[in-house]
Parts: sequence; C-alpha cells; structure tokens
Amino acid sequence: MATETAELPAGPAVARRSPGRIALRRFLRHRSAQVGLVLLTAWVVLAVFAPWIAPYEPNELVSRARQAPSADHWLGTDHLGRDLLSRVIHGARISLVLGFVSVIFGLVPGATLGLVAGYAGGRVDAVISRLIDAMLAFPSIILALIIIATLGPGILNVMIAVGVASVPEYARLMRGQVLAARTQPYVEAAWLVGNDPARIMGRHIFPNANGPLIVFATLQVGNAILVGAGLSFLGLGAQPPTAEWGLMSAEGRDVLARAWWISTFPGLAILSVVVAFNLVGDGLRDAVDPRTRPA
Amino acid sequence: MTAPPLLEVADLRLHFPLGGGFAFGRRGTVKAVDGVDFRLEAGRTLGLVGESGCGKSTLGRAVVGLETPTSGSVTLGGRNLAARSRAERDADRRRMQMIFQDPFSSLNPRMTVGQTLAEPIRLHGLREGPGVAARVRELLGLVDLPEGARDRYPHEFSGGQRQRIGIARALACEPELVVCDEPVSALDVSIQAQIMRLLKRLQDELGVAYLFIGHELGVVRQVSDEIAVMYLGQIVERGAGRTLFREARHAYTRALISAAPIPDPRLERLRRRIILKGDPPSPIDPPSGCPFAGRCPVAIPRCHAERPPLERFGPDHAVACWRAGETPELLPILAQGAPARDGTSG
Repeated sequence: MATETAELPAGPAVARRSPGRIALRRFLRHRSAQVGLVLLTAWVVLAVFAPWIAPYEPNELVSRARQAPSADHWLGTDHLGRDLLSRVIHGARISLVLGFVSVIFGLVPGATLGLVAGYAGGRVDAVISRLIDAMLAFPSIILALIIIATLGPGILNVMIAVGVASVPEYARLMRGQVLAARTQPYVEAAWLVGNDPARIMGRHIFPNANGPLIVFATLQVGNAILVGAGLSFLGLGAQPPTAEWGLMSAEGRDVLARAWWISTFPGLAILSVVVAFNLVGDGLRDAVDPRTRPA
Repeated sequence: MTAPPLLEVADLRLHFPLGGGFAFGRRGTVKAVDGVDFRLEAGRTLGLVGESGCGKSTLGRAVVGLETPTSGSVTLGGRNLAARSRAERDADRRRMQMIFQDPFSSLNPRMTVGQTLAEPIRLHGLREGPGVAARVRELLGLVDLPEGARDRYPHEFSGGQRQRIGIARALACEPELVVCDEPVSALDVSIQAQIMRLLKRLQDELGVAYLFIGHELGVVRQVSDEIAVMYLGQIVERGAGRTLFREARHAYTRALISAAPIPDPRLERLRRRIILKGDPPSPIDPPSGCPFAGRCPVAIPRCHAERPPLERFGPDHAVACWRAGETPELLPILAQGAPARDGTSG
C-alpha cells in the first residue's frame, strides 16, 4: 500500500485521455454515427464545391420543361426547364447554412438563459423560467410562423424564426443540466478557491453540462432544415428563383402526377440530410453518455 | 488568551424552512444547527462527531461560507464573516478551505490535476509566471503524488489519490483553516490510515488548523486535540480527546464510545455496550427539552422540559446534561478508554 500514491495510471500521451477525447473516440467508433458522418460529409462537399460539381448553373434554362430523368439530366428538369440535379446540389448550400445558422440563433441565447437561470436561482430563475414556459406553450412551428409573419418572408428571417422558436428548448435543457451540476462538490470547491460566478459558470459548470446540449443541437440542425424547408414550401422562406429544397418541392406539387421528379428529388435531399444529422446526433448522444448505450 | 482565536463560532443557527410554495399549508422548520458555540486556535484540530443528520456537515459548510447561517456568527481571526464587505469576504474565503467527503465528485472531471491546482494560485496571485508551475509541483510533493500526475485527469486516479488531489487543492490557497468533511469515510480502510497520517503530517508542517468532521469517534480521535459531540444540531459534550474517552458524562457520548470495538479480545469481552433505543427525533420542530431525552436511559422529567446548557466540568471538558454529575455512576464506560486505533471502523 505504501506505493499506492507513487503509481500513476498507465496510458498514452495526455491529450488522448481527456474526457472529450474519450467521447470523440467512442463517437467515431459508433456505427450509425459513421453512416451519418459519411452522408453529411458528402453533402458538405457537394455544397462547398457546388459550382464545380453541378453540371449547370442553378437558374440556367437548359432544356425543355419537365423532362424526365435521363443521361443528360440525371434528375430531369423542372417546370421551367432548369437542371434539377444542379438545383438540388446548389440547394444544399442554403439548407446547410440555414440549419447551422438557425441552431446558433437558438443555442447561444438559449444556453445563456439556461445557464444564468440555473446558476442564479431565485427570482432570476423564476422570471426566466416563466418566460421559457410561456414560449413552450406555443408549438415551435406556430412560434416560427408568428415571427415570420412579423418579420416578413425571406431566408434570413426563416433562420431567425426557427432559431428563436427553439430558444426555450435550449434554455430548459441547459437549466436542468446546470441545476444538476451546480450542487456538485467540485463546483462548491471552485467557489471556495476564489472563482467568481462567471468563471464558475464558464469553466466549471458549462464544460460538464454541455453534453446533452451538443447532442440536442445536432439533432436540431436536421429539424431546422426541415422546418426551414417547410416554411419555404409555404412561400414564407426562400423566394423564386432561389434553388431551395422546400421551394423546389412546392414548385413541383401541381404537376406531381405528370412530373413526379420535380418534387421528389428535393424531398429526398431533405430526407437524407435530416437523417444524416439524426444519425450523427444519436452517435453523439451515446458517446457523451455511454449509459444509454445498448449493451 | 488575549489574541482572538483563529475561529470562533457563536450561537450559530441554521434553520431551513420546509415546504414548496409560499401559500400551501403550514410548513415546519428543519433546525439543522441549533445554537452551537466553539472556538478553535490556530494550528489545532477540533473533531466534530455525531451520527448522520446531526448537522455536523451543515455546520462545517456554514463555517466556510457554503451555507448562510440563520443567526449567530462565525468569526475568523477576530473578524465577523457576516459583517464584511464583499472584497474582504473574497479575500477571507481563501483562508478557509474544505476537503470534501466524496473524492469522485469533488474534482472537476474536465480539468487536469495541474489546472485544478494552478487555478487558486493564479486567482489569488500567490505566485507569478513560472512560480505557478513550481508551486504545483511542490503541492503534489506535499501530498505524495508524483509530478507526472499534473497532466492527468481525475478519472485516472483511485479514490485515495483523488482525495490527495483534493487536499492539495485546499492547500494551494495557503489556508489557515481546513474543514475536513468526513474526508476518509468514502475510502478503503487501508487508504483511510494513509490519508489520516498525511493530514496529521501536513498540520505539523504547515500549522494549519482543522475542523475535522466524522461519524466515527475512533477516526476523529486520531487527529483531534479536542472533540465535540453533536446531536440533533447541538453540541452535547466537548472535551480533550483523552478526557472525553475516560470521563464522558453525556449518555450519548458514552453510547458512542461503547459502540467502538476494541482490537484486543480480552478487553473486547469486557466491553459493555450501551444500545440506544429508537432513532434520533426529527430535526423538524425538534423537542423543546434535551434533544436526547427520548432515547436517554437516564432521562428524568426535567430533561423533556428544559434544554440543558453546556456546563464546564473541568478545564477542558463541558457537558450539556442535567444529570452530568451522576452519569459516571449510572452508566458503564471503559475505564482506560479505547486504545488508539488505526483508522479501522466499528
């Protein structure tokens, strides 16, 4: 027993043993996360290199309207004669940006509110929590519609609307995590050794409470893309002639019987991106919290 | 004693209101700590024993400022902690540190040991630049951890090693008082002894005072100059370790002493146990008389009606019991006291 203190755990270089690295390793070994990541990487590459990959300009009139998929136009042409494949590839840019930006619009204020509410407690918490409850009383799509109605249609307004509509969910999740973390002895110790509240929240509570938040945010990217496309479908988001998936689906809905591809391929694009984010999110969840992992 | 003691606690009370909403029903009050007085000199150790729920941890937390007292005062080096400005309070926070019971939840899992130890040094400006790293090395050496521990995360260490890290963190602040809240209760018996020896050695080297909280009299006795026995939020008996073991006058203290087994079969056979009946009363609206009256084998009617004050029975001995003058004749106790034991539990 005399040597108990002299022994250090065996292991490789330090960076690989940090809790974050351990979770990352678990994540990369997760099967559905791998599938999601491959899918997602493919979409990101398509989005970034869209002008070089797409065979035509997204708004270029290349052929007769409503041509079925063929060797010249793999996914066919739309109601105006634009190449659908090129439009779907360019649409990835808008959808991915929309997904990430609206999540940031929701995550940053939501997490901040939740962190402050959970840490401060008392009246601050009561006020913020009632605000959250009030917002949660609306279904988020209704909330987004109200915001769009106020701000007017447009892709940026869609991002703001979808983001703001998700603020209460982030806030509630963060608050719960903070409440659990703040009574941990290491947080009390952090106060005792002289940390001020900002440092306690930033360095001691947040890093130990953000796991579920990251998972939720990842799942929420897919959801935001879906809601954003839905709003565009309804005519409240992207305006013609933008190559946006929701809008493209809407453009084909009147001719669904004669030209099914116009709506179908943008729809499939939405589906695959959303599924990719969900798979990655599931993998993250299992990596962050191994207890929920199936045996 | 002309200079003020390092720590003086006077008539400290911590009452917690029960019940959720502000309008629903009648709510009770949990009197976790109910009128406690003690003083602790620099470099000395006061042991605080009592069973779970007696308020000893709450008392320790109130001393360092993790709980706000309902009334009473905590005075550090002559300065009342409640009556200070914010800046003074922040400065004094460093002077009192705490070692926590659970070594697994008391270290931030996202920070390396080096970061955890360097944080208080930087926050208080105790060292500058390269001095910080040197001080971290020094602290690791103080608690017998190898230098390589610096770049590791808490999850890589055993319970005993983590407790050493917790001790090093407390010492990083260069405190005058360390509240040890059951620092060995969560550890293996063999590790307990090591940690107790470490705490004792650190006190000898650094002159830090301990408020040592525990539920095992035998463990607490090892480090304590004086022991206070707590029951239901009150100190029922207080005395130097040896005095308490030989001359305990409170029935509760006697029961605690008699509960500890003796690692000598001859003495152990002679040991007569005082078995207490029942559970301690709820600290929600506790009885008005002596808190122990309901379980006391020698209680008289007066005990149920009036709360006995803590009365002196010698230079280093005080008892809160109406029958303190008679209990030595009424209750058995081991004549020589239990031999010093090495951290083993009863």
